[in-house]
Amino acid sequence: MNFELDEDTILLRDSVRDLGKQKAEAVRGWESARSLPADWIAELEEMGLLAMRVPEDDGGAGLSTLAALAVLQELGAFCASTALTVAVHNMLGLGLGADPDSGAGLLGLVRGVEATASSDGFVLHGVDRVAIGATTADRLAVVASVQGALTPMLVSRTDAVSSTRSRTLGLRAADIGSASFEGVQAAGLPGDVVTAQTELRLALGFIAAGIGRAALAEGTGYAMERQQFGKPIAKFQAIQWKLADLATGLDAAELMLGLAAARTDADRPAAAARATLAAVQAVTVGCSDMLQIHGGYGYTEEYAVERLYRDAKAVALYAGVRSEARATVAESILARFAAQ
Amino acid sequence: MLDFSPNDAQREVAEVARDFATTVLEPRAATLDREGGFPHDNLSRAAQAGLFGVNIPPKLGGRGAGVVAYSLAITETARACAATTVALCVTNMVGEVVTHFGNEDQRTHWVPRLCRGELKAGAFALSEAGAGSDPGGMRTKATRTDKGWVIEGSKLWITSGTDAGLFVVWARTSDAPGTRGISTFLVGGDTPGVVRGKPEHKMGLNGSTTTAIDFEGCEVGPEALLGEEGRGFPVAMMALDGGRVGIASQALGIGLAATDAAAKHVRDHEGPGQPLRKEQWAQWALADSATELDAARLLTLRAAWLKERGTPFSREASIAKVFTTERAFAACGRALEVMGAAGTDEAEGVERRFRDVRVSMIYEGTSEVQRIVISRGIARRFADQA
Repeated sequence: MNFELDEDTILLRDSVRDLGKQKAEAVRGWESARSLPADWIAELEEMGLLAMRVPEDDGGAGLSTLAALAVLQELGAFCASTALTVAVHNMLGLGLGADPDSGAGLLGLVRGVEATASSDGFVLHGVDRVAIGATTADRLAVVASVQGALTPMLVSRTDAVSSTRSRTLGLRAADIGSASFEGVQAAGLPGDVVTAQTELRLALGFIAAGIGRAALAEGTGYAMERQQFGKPIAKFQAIQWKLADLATGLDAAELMLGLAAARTDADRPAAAARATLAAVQAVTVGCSDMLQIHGGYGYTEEYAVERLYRDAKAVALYAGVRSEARATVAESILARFAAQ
Repeated sequence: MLDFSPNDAQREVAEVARDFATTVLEPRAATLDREGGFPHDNLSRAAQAGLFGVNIPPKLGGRGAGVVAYSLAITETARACAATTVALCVTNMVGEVVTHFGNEDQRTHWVPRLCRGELKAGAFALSEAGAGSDPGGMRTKATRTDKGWVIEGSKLWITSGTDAGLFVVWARTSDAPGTRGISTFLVGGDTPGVVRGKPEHKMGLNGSTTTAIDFEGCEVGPEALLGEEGRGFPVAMMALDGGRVGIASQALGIGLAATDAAAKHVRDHEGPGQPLRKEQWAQWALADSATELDAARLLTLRAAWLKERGTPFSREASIAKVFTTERAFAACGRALEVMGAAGTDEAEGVERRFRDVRVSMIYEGTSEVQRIVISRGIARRFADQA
């Protein structure tokens, strides 16, 4: 049993955390401009964060799964839009079998479209209204339904993809929008859809935990500073209980996330679903509570908690916790009892 | 006999409000949210429709339809545009406060013009940077002069602060500690020394403005004093109690709108393998929202009915406010979950409701303050029995 990250991972995590402190002001600008600047993507690439899981011999950072997820958590703590973009590129790219090596350009994600097999791959039809990297990703990893079977494939930006940016509740700097395909040619990918979904869901759980950690720091800091009735509001139980609940929920979620990340057996998808469910439940409630601690100030863009709150909800929706994640958990329980 | 059906006058006001909401507010609500700013045209049309003084006597230019009618009207307008509705709520309450506490001159000077829309909107100037949940921390001062009063200080979170033509302002008129020594003043928006701040950048309710107001050597005549000197706190409490009925009614409308949108989504979309309407998780979400909002509606209307009868309603207003705002918030969250990631797109209108509803747990007394009010009421009841 070991509850500690290894030394290299801790160093890496701390360096991303420091980066977050430097970028705090810049993030506000990206979010209101609703775009991640190209030089920031280039900086991420320089740091090896666009090839986290690619072996060092092949020019990547050669990180373990857990280390890559720890990086995503730290990115999530200061810019969830960046974290989502990096997560899709790395975790999904790997799961779907699209090479996340930085040389080939940023990967986006498209779901919920149809494809038919053709002589040299597939032909795509349909619209995904919540495509990630819809308008700027160089390549789009597509999970398409081929006669009901979810199949991974790849489309290059240069193909006839028509796309528009959406204005969204959260993750505003991420490139989320509508991507539509009318007879676009796609190449098949060797990866596995369930694996990809599991890795993305786990990544979203870690990102949620990062958002939660940031919100806890914001809420605690404000509660200690804000005076009402002649004392810091942190002295009131109504405030303390909110802090205690989020701290407890985050601790539990992080342990579950760590355990799920370490699993390599058949229970990995269900463990990832359980952990992400726990994380987003604690964090969506917790971010709302941390906003509440800020009172009217929490409702303004002046304080980071406003963005954290919106991003937490958006991450929860992307992780599909209301139905899909629970279904995965339920199926695994039922299967286990059926086997007995 | 218990009877939960509205009477003819209440039904008429609700219908006027619904018609105003669907024809005027709804078509422009998304644009208003995106572009932001004070909803000039919406409010002048609301005044024309007689929605500025729903519970104000007809002789002062109001409808005289009562508090229940007011609550029904606010829920209808909030279904379409919560931002316009908050300005509408505050304007109605300003009219009520002047009607209730003002002398004949003050009433006839301000209330008919307010109801006609000539003042654009009414506004309360109560909160300060250091006085949010704790009004005892108030620092704004009004000093007596030969010609009346000079008001000096800074107020925060003023709904319609950019444009309001009438401010109800609370200020200290003596050094008495806490909430004693606070008085209330009626200050016209064009009074020299009223300095309007820039609108706050908010998460939601972007089609309404929220600003700081600085009173810099702001001179007003003796006629500006509303009610008795040093008795401003009860005025604030009346404004807040009535305001809580309004905000509960508003939150209910937001929650109902989000739930309606989710129900339409469920009706029209396929889930994995079967229509969404056959998925229990989607059914449960709608059932929970419908159940909770039904309870919220009854609590809100009970508080409105008590106020209309002239019986104490402070505790019931707090119960209605905390329950309705929190359940409406939950309903908006569930509506997003039912719609999935696509629901976060601005075009769907549900993410606007989710942003708009959040502040209802903060303004007009936070949920924490409501729980304090409610628990004090319980403690008093048991103390009486001891």
